[in-house]
Amino acid sequence: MILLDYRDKRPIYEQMVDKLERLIASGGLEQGSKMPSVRSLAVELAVNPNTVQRAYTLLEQEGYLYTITGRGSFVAPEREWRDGQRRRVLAEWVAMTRKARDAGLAQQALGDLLDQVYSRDTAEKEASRSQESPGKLEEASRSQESPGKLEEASRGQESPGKLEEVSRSQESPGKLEEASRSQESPGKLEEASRSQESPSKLEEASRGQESPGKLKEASRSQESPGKLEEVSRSQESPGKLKEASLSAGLSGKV
Amino acid sequence: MLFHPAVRKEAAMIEVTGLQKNYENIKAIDQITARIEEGHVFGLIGTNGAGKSTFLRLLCGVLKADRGQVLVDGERVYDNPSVKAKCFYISDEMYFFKNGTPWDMARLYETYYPFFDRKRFGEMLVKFGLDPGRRIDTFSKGMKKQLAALCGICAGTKYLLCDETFDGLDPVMRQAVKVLFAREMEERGLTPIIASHNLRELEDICEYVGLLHRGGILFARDLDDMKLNLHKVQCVVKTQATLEHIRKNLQVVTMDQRGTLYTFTIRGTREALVEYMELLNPVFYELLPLSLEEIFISETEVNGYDIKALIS
Repeated sequence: MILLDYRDKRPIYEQMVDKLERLIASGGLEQGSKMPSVRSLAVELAVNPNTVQRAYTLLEQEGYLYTITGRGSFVAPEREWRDGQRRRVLAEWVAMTRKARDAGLAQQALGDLLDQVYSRDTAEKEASRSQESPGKLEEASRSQESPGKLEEASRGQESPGKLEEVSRSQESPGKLEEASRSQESPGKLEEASRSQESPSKLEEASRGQESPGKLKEASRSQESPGKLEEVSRSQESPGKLKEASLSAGLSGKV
Repeated sequence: MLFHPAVRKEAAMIEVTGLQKNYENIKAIDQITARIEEGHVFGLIGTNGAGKSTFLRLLCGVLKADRGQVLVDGERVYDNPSVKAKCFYISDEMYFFKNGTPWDMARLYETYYPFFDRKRFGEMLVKFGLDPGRRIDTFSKGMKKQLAALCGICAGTKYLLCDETFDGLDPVMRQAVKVLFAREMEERGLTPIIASHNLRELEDICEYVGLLHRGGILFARDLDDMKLNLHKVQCVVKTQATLEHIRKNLQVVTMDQRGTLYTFTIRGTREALVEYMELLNPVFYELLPLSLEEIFISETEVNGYDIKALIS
């Protein structure tokens, strides 16, 4: 049902609670379904039954489960745990916001991101139509799903570190061009975001080892007072950047 | 299912008071007082020579204490066969009959342990790939360890004292034994007491942990509490004033410095720590989880022991 990571330093019950919460919140475990007994889960995971019991008790306190004596524990309806989940998500937001702040991102950038995410339906439709490339494409809509973690790097094996990108689109929330890139880039792709004026910081790294396709990214920043880190080579200009390929050794800043 | 007559809740444990055991002039066990409650997993960590085996043997009545007493479910264990029948000691030095087979061992244990489950024993031997009719002296060391563990599990005792039992098993076997423990704990309230070198292992199974050092228990505590109340934080500290502020407002257990990057071990809740760090607002800070090993090292450094040299 769940997999424990033995190298995770968190206590096992905490891991269990976390994973079960996600399963329930995502609908993986449906409302009303019966949870395995403490004993069977303990046996399945080879852990101390008291640990399982502890996890179940905590989940019950948080509203994810309810217990019927003699029959077992069941997944509670959404209204019982939704508040708790929201609290947790907000707490994660706080942590991510701190990270953004530490990375030098301005509040405005995050605000724009929020706008983007909440209007994602339109974007999703638009983005899905432009699929030219072979290989995996993750488009712009993806960035909308993970507002906090916009870390995208389509990268070659050598890319160290994380790349953060703030993609914005002024006028066309829908029209986001993707980065089609080489098959060799495992992991997520970066996407092209067009931004006319990007007063705040734009960090974008689009990279790929051999990008057969064209990496179209238009990150335009005429005025970029803050840090602009961009890895994309362009002969001509600050304006439109069409980036073809980068050598694997290039790390990230130009 | 009750394997043993019900015991008064208050007495359902192994209780040790002022325990002392000397070997000539060496204090193998030096004034230990501790409680091991039933239905939970208790871990015992210590280096070689710390007294783990001696302690376990005292618990099950193999050894007689020089001072103090061991009560198992409220009764003295030493020289008390009915109480001894509640404890099985899986030694790290495996004693088997010279020409014996696993079945011979089963016959021996049956005489001492009324709930020894012969049928189960046979089934498990097969599952683990051990031939019940084969001479044990032809088994490999690992197989002998497995056999010892199985004897212990099938003995049906309430308390199972494992002297480095897990340490010699391969990962697959370790997992299998853990599964068995899980089942036994639920089915019959098995209470494992596990002595080990392997902190990581203990961390996963044990709820309570005691650190044995030179015959004394440094502390026996609830593992999760220990982890919830001790945290490691790394942050940049640029001025002496800030350092003083940190020292004054937080319970700093240990401190490590590299240039302006400091690593502190702090006592207190995570929430309180995060709140403080947010207020302090250093250029950089990060909270890191602590492993059991790190917790012990921090705690014992405070007690003046150079545990780094001792814990492998």
